[in-house]
Amino acid sequence: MGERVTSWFAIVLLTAVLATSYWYAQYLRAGLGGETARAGAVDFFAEGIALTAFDPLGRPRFRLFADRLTHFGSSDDVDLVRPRVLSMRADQPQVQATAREAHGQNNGQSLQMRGDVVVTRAGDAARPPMELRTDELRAVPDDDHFWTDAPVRVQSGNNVLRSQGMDFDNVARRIELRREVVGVFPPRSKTCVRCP
Amino acid sequence: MRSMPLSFPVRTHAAALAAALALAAAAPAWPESADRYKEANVTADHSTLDDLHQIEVLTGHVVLIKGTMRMGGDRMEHRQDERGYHHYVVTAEGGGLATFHERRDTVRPGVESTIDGFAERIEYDDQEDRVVLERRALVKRLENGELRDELSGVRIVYDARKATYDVDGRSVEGADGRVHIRIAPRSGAPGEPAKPGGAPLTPERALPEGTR
Repeated sequence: MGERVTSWFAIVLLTAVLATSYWYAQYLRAGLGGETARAGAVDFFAEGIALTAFDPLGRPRFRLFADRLTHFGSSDDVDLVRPRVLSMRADQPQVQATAREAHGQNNGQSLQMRGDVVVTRAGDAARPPMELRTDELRAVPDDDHFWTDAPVRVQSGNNVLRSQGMDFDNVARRIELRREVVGVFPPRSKTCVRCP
Repeated sequence: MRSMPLSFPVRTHAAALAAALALAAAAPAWPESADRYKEANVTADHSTLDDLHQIEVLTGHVVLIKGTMRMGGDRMEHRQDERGYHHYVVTAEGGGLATFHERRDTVRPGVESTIDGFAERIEYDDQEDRVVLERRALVKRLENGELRDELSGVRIVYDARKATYDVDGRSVEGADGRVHIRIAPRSGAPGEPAKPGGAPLTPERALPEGTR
């Protein structure tokens, strides 16, 4: 009797492993498969991560949060689920980028974000807060540089601009909208001058 | 006897202003008053936002529509001041002219009055609701598509709230110092289009000494 139970347990376990492997292979093909297949073997993963990167002087450069991080040992690439990148430059307004998923290369030096990508720049006394929305975004967090070829929506205060493609340099504090720009500038509101 | 359009050059700023005010009095139609409270819709090929100074530069086939108001050109600078008012500067490239168009509030039933402006540089802000046309500036007022009045000079300021013009021929070095105003006949047959030309007047001879 005991041997039979053990056999069944082994069969169930083996089936579960096979099913999981199959699902993961399908997931890679459908989603980030292109990058991750090239990225090599997974050597570890982590859930609920919060990483802080520092500059040579020990000052925080940016923080990275994600529900799940999968690391590929041979290439040092990472896949991220629900990532959130937060710039920490003391001399620049805080910029945050979130997405459904992301693929990082070269130890996070470049990020490719996908799905409901939202980048926000905090407002200050001189400027209203700003928000960028798109479906795909590439970022170099060290340089505070973000760009995309996809349709993008930019909201600064109450003003909204849409475009095909964008380049956002948060160090130079310059946003370039590349093609087919359409904007809406509402009239001044008596109760709310620079609303978020 | 048929009335002819009047066309006369005006040498001085003050005289031009007086003539323009007279012109405004002769045409008591007000600009589309709701325009300044409407949102502006812009289209362009390309845009760069200077996030530090909050200045946006749109380039390539720029068109701005705000109610009945329409501005067009090759380049437009837009900024919103700390009180929330919008400021626009439209320019043209390659020897072309930026354009401005606005419909005015209807005063007489059945008569639609519009303003068309052309210049190398056109500036508008919705705080003053004022249009400044600079360099090769030309403003035309039309009724039901027919030309009624025409002004040209180096600089024309069109106050949309007061429906007045301030015309200056001397603002830029090298200009001929003359402002040209043409007033179409008011007593012509209904529907008869205003014709260009007409007997030129020389009002500078009649201006009092010392008028600038």
